[in-house]
Amino acid sequence: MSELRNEDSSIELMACDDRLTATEETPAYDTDIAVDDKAPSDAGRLKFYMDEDEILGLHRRLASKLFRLVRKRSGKIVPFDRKKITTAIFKAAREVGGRDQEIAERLTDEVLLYMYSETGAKLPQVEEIQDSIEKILVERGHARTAKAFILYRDKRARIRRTDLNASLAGLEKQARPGLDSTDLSLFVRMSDDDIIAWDREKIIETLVREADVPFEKAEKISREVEDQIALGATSVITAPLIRELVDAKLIEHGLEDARRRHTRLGVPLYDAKRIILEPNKENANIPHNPEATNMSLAEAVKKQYALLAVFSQEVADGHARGDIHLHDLGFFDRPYCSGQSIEYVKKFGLSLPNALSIAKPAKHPEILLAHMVKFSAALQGHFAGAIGWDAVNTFFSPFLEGMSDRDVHQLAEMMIFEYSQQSVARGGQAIFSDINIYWETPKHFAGVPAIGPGGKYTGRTYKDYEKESQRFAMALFDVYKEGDGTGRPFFFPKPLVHITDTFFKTPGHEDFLLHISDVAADKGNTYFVFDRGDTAKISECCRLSFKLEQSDLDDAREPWKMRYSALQNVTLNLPRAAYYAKGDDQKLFEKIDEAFELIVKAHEQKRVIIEKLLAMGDGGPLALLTMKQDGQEYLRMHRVTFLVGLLGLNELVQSHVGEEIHESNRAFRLGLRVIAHLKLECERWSKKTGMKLVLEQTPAESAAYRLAKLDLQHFPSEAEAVVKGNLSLGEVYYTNSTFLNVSEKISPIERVKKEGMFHDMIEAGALSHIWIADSHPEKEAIASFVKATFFHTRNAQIAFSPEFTTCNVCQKVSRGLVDSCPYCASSQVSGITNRTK
Amino acid sequence: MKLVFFVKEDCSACTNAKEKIGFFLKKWEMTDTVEIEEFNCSTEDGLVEAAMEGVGEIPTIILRDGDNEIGRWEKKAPVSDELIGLLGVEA
Repeated sequence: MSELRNEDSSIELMACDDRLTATEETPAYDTDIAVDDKAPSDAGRLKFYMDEDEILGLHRRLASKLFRLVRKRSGKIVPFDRKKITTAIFKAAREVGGRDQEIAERLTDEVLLYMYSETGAKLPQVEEIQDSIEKILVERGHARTAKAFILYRDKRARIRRTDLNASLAGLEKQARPGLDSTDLSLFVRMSDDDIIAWDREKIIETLVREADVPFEKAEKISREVEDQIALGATSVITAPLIRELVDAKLIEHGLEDARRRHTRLGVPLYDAKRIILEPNKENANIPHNPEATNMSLAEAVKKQYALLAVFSQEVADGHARGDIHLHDLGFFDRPYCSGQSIEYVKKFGLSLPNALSIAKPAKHPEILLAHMVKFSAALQGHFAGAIGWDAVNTFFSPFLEGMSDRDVHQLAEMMIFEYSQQSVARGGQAIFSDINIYWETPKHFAGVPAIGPGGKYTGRTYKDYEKESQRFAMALFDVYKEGDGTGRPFFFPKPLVHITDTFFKTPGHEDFLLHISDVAADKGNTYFVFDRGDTAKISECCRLSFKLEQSDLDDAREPWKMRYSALQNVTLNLPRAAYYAKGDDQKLFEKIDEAFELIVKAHEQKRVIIEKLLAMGDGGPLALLTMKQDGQEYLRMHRVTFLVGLLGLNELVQSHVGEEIHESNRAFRLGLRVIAHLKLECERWSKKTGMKLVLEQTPAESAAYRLAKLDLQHFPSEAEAVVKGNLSLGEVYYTNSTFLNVSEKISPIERVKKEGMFHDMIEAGALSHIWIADSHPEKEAIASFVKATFFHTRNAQIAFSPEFTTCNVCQKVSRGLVDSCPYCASSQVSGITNRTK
Repeated sequence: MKLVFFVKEDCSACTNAKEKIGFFLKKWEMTDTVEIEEFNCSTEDGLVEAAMEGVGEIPTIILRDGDNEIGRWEKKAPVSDELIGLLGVEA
């Protein structure tokens, strides 16, 4: 019988195999399908004749489903891969001149069907498979191929018999150019803690399986890599290094896409050491402990995966170049921030997918708090950013009736300490949490039936519980004022107090305003959120807010439905557009538009991956977000927003017209025009893509630093003229978002007023920081400032930023940043500042 | 005197406010004495002017006497009596 030598002989073989197999040897291949096997004669039998392609297709489908796993010689069970059989057969055939891989594929089918007929679905072993290959090759008349296979098998067996330990200890590098691969005395340290003998075929298998490289090309590359290794002087090589060598060859061969698919992800040893041994300098919220270093290492790998496999090359390159900044790349497989209502846990209890136990709706305030905190922790595992809670004091109020002031204070203390001290989220961090607080009952909740203990309606509305709600709000700020056990300010949960027109008409608001102003002056906790006119929103994440539309206000009748999320934040490097434009207005906006389009693509790609993960439902990684306690998925995709972050408007303007935003009317108007343009771009692209794109002040100081550094590399002369910070120390940054230069002495009210003029266009959230450092303004002055901001500016939100020094020896806290403790003179002090550039 | 309108194209309240004020200005024979300026807040220029004027709602109508703002109406048109007083129209 002919070998797999050429097309003619292939046809001969195929005809031979199929004829013989189908009609004489194996009834299973009978092309007649009897619909009535009890029929007495051919006259009573209905026959269906299948052509060769159909038969082959049937074989392939059957064969491909027979085995899922295989036991290796080491005893290890691994996924079954039919390609390995095909490769072995074809390699043997090539040794004797064969060229048709399709025949090897068909013989593979036969091997599998034979094995199944012999042993059923029993877990096959490598030796059994090889025995079956030999048998099929011989029986189907491929004697020379069979012989080549047997010789190869024997050779491999001899190699395996080599004493591995002795070889590792004593083997000198024996390989020389031109030697056959099997003579290369080399061992490979695998990624799964195994050491195996060098096997060039593994490169071929990997390239074919993982990178879709054609077999012939894979073989050529494997030989080239082998030659390269043989030139070296090592007896042990690591699998990652082999992969890198193969990748280099893929580039040489112009197979860039294959190289991407074949990429190995990981971090250099140096980086791993740094992550494990040194504190995280990029994110002050991340502690330094084993969980945190686990997260940092995983984040590094996921970031690489995102840039290779989630985002297109165009988007990934845009991020790498610094035209845009993709936030939270290490958390690409979860949405960004979320804002929700505690009514969800009040009504449904705590019943999370895959949880070991389920809790019914809370009957006591402490239990409600426990549910809220645990749910926050679970949510933090599914969102990259903050977990915000709406109108917390309002929704707690039905649980507070009859409680003494002391008990309400205790509950407030529990809430703040529970959020501050939990080290459960993302690498042992505290949960990034925000609580929205209202003095009045928000008008969209005033007439809503209140849910009380046990998830039952109390028969009254939230307006009826306003006094309890106010008591709780006051108590929360009592606790903020006290600070932690050493008097330091709490970092979480961040209290966001909504100042509305109704606020100023609600009795007691003066005292409350003084109280929260006192906390702002003393500890800096209070965020003042301004909801003017009919505006209503849920705020979080320092400045992010979800503006409520009419449909949301309709949902307010059933507040548990009010769940919002921003899916991703991508920041636009504004100064770079000015560097490209070189003073040309038209070009400035063209470059802004180009970067914006890239941001839109990044958001579309993020939406695809999140939708894919959500589609996996209960069995997927985002099961929590697909739970449907109220009939719709927890993450309401139709309400998510896609954030366009702003960075360095001040430096864009400065580079383009030679003046900073605050320095002239012309510069200021250019700043406004850029933001107006971007707002309209958001609206245009929202209509076009169906994604709600909105502007947001960028939240991350690290992006301000990263993009400034990149611009100093790519546009040194332009960037040096405008970046802020200390160039000689490399501590540079761009001014955050639409802020005025933070180093300029601009009066607070002027800063708040001017910055506020941008805020109406930044729908997803904007904020002004008022820097008070070591000064301690009177609470009356702060309250007056807040009123003036509400009534005389368009500013959306303000916060006051004091600085502190804590002594690591005596634990006392002093105001301002100092080098030594004013109480015990120790120099072991830590500074606390939340200054945002 | 100058009336400055901040409007949007797809805003029916804006159209109503403009028509109402136009009607009264005509009735009071002030179309030549009261200047009208309109900013479309669906455009960059309109948004910039709105930000400069602290306008956050549509429609907003501002009445100016020289550089002084003497009246502002947000999300509504002024009632005619109020406007009469500010414009100095004799009844």
